[in-house]
Formats: sequence, structure tokens, C-alpha cells
Amino acid sequence: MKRILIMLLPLFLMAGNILDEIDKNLNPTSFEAYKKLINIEPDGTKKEFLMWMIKKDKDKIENLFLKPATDNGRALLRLGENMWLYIPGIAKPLRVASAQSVTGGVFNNSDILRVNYSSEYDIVKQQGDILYLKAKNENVTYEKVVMKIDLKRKLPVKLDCYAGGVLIKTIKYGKITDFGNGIVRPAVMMTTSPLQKGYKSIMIWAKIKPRKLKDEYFTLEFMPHLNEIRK
Amino acid sequence: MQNVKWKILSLLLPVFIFAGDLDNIDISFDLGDVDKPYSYKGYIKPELYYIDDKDKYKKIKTKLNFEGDYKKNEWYIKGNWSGYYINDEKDKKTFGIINELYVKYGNVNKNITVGKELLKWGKGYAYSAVSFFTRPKNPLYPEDLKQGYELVHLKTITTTDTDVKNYSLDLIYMPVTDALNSDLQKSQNAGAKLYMLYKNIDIDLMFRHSNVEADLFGGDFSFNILTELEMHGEYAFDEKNENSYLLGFKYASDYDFSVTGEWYKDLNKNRLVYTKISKKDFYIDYLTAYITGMRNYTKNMNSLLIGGNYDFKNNFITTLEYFTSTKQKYIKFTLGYYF
Repeated sequence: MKRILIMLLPLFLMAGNILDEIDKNLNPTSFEAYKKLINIEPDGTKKEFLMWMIKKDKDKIENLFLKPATDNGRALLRLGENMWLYIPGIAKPLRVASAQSVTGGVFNNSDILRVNYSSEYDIVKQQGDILYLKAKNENVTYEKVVMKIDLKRKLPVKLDCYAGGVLIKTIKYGKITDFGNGIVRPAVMMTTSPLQKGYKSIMIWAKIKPRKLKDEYFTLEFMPHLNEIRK
Repeated sequence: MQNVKWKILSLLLPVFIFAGDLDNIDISFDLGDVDKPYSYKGYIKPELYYIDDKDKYKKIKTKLNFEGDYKKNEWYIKGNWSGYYINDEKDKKTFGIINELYVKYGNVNKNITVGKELLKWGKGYAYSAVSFFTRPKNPLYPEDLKQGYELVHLKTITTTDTDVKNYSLDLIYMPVTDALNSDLQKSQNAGAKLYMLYKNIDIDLMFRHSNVEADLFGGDFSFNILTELEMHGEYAFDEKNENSYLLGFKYASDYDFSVTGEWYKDLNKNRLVYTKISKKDFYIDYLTAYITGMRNYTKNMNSLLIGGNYDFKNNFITTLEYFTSTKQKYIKFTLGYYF
């Protein structure tokens, strides 16, 4: 009995919204990072993207594509529920849908520009290390998420994402890594989908560093100039 | 002690089960030269045309584009150059164009740019009524517009906690002399643009003053009426009460199917309609198929472009297009290499 109580103790210690803690552990309030995204097809062929990203607060995030050369200079901006794609040569940043994918593969735009979980979802129920999440509104890409968490580290381990009552994607986090500056979090995220059998997409983080970022970086007018602040 | 170990193992067990295959992934990656104060990129794109207008002939057009930039403290330098080789069986020509070459000083909040810069005003995809300091786009290939004008450009960007989430102001001075912007009529031009994100609507207001042409005034907007449906519009008028306007939309489904439509009237009273339908991963991964239709109601001219491009995932992209219009038909094959 005593052993069970000790094992369950962490659950009772989870004061407040555990999603806020998960978000805090995944992302510093304001930071930059490099990401590699790999799309793997059923025959094993791969397509890789290298991106530089900045994120501030709960819902401001921006990605700059560096590789492949065909995508170099493209930028993706997300402000809350609004998302834009800037393609060098096209006059204005184009509004894009969160469920679309600018990279192809299994990750969609909202996976690539992941805002804080707590800004999109509410906890409906918690059973041990399983959180049942419900989208705050109908604009959120996945209406329901079942999140398995690492209770000790307060980090996500696996997410089953549902839309229209159907499982459309499974996301797994792994390879807990110390990035320095107190940032200890998964370095890898992998996704598969029953709708795209045999395909998988992997995202690997590197050089996650806290950085003071101005709000003005997260504006449409600045999207074409994002590369200027990377240096 | 053994009990404590078991407790820890019990708590961590789910992590090991689900992390499993991910922990074998090599997370090291070489950033190469992307983490440097300079960057460069470019492409070479040979295009082969089979043209059928009054005669039938072949044309080879090879485009080379190179872009580089360098940043040091508050200083930023950027250049973009295109070289062309065109051989259409009647004539051969080779030439180069400096598309952009400018120096910028300042930060995101306030900066000044001096040199040749491509300004991107307006919300239109194929057309624009309010690009007062920009060359006209080719609606079939709007991304091919790279050449800017020589000008001085002051810019400020500010964010707020009000319904106007952010706003920016651009001030432009563009002289036209024998040495600067010499393809235009000699003149002195100045203009301004005020942009704001009001709630979830992008809004711009702009004007251009010239000492030889009528002053121009304009505005544009863009917003999402539904998650998948964006609406945009532009309106411009001059001192002589001639006007130009554009109304457009872009529908983008979750499955990378998109439709773009624009209705446009220019200052010369041409009325045009544009529609582009495209689908990514069209039957084959990395194949994008598209069809673009245009009609000029004033000149009673139609054109249709059907094409597809395939990304080989090794920086090569090939494109095959068939174009037919009231005046001309062609088949175009392109193989682009990006670096």
C-alpha cells in the first residue's frame, strides 16, 4: 500500500495545470533553435529540411527554411491561429491552413509551428500519466489529443491526435537531451499516421538557446528579413 | 534501497517503452556554413521552349541567379544578380541584371536602406493595383519578378497590445535620372505605406507623389473568412480619378489542394480575371500539378497554362508546361538546379 502511495505521489504533487509545466519544460519563454525535419517514405527514400526557428510567449513562432536549396529563404509565421508562408519572389506572405503541410510528409504546419499545448487545449481528464485533451476551439487542428506524459520530468512522451473522432496521427517524443541553460527536453519528435501508412516524419532539435526576441520579429512585414537576425 | 530502485524503474518504464525506437536516432547534425554572418544561394535553370505562333521554332533560355548577403552589427548588405542566355533560332543574346544591391542600417524597429531594392507592396498574387514602386508582374510567373528600383527606404515596425497588433511605416524616395532607374521617365518620386494588422485583418494604405505623373493613392486588405479561405483586395486611384482595383481569394484545403482567383481592373481600364488551381503530391509524392487560366475581357484574349513540377529531392526540380493563348502556344521544359 505504502509503495503504491509513493508511486502515485507525483500525481498529487501536480498542482495547477500540468500542460503549462509541460510547455515550460519544452520551450523557454523566448528562444531560438535549429531543427532538422526528415520525411521518410515507404521505400526508405528521405527528404530533409533544415530550419532555424524563433519562438516567443505562448503563440508567436517563426521558421526560416535554410535547406534544401529549393526552399531556402521561405519563412513560416504563426501568430495564434493565423499562419502565413513567405516565398521569396511572391509579393505578400500567403495565408496558409494549419492542417496543410508546406514540407510534405506527415507533419502539418501546426506540428512544425507548434505553439504551447496549453494555448490550444484544455485537460478534460487525467488518468495517471495519461492526459485527455480537448481543443479550445474548432480552429485547432486536432480536436482531441490523448497525451502520455513522463510524470517525473513533466514532458510529453506520446500523443494520439484525433480529428472527426478518428485517429489521424501519432507523435512520439524521445532522446531527452540537455541543451544547456537548464533546458532538458526531448531532442526528437517522430510522427506517423494511419492515413499515410509507411510514411514517417522526424524532427530533430539542436542549439536551443534562450534569446531576447522583439515582438516586431513576428510580423508579416519582417518575414522577408528574418535571415538578417539569424546572424 | 532495492524498493526505491523498483519505484524509480516503475515510474520510468513507460518512458522507455515509448521512447524505444527514437533513442536510436542520431541527433547530431552538421549545420555547415548556415551559422555564418554571410549566406548565399542561387539556381541555374535551363528552359527549352517549342513555340507555335506565326512560325514554329525552338527557344532556349537559361537563367542563372545568385544571391548573397552579409550582416555585421547593425549593417546588412544584400545583392541579387541574374544572368540570361537566350537563343530563339533568330537571335542570340546574353545579358546580366543586378536585381538588388543595397545597404541597410538599423534594427527591426527603425532602419534605412539605400540602393536597388525590390519592394513588395500589395496583396494580389497575380496582379497588383498598389505596387507603386515595383515593376509589373508576369501573372503566369509572379515569382520571376526580382528586379527592384534604386531608392532610399526608411522603415519602422511597432507592435502594440491593442486591436492594432502591429503596424509599420515605409517612406520611399525614388529619383529617376540618367544614372538611376534610367528605364523610367526622368522624375522625382516619393511615397509612403502604412501597414497594420488590425485584429486579424492585414491593412495597407499607400500613396506615391511624382513631379511628372499623377499622384496615386491606394489601400489593400487581406483576411481569412474561413480557416481555409483567404480574401484580399486592393484599390488605387489617381488625381485624374482613374481607378484600379483587385478582388481575390485563395482557398487552401487540408490536402494541399488550392485555388487562387483574382478579378483585376488596371488604370488603363483592362479588365482581367485569373484562376489557378494546384495540387501538391498529385498522385505521386513531390509532384505538383497546376492549371492557370486568364482572360482579358477588354482585349478579348484568353490564355491557359497546364503544368506540373517534380522535386527530385536532390535540389533538382523539373517542370513541364503547356501554354495556349489567343496569340501563342508553347511547350516548355525546365530543369532547375538550386544551390
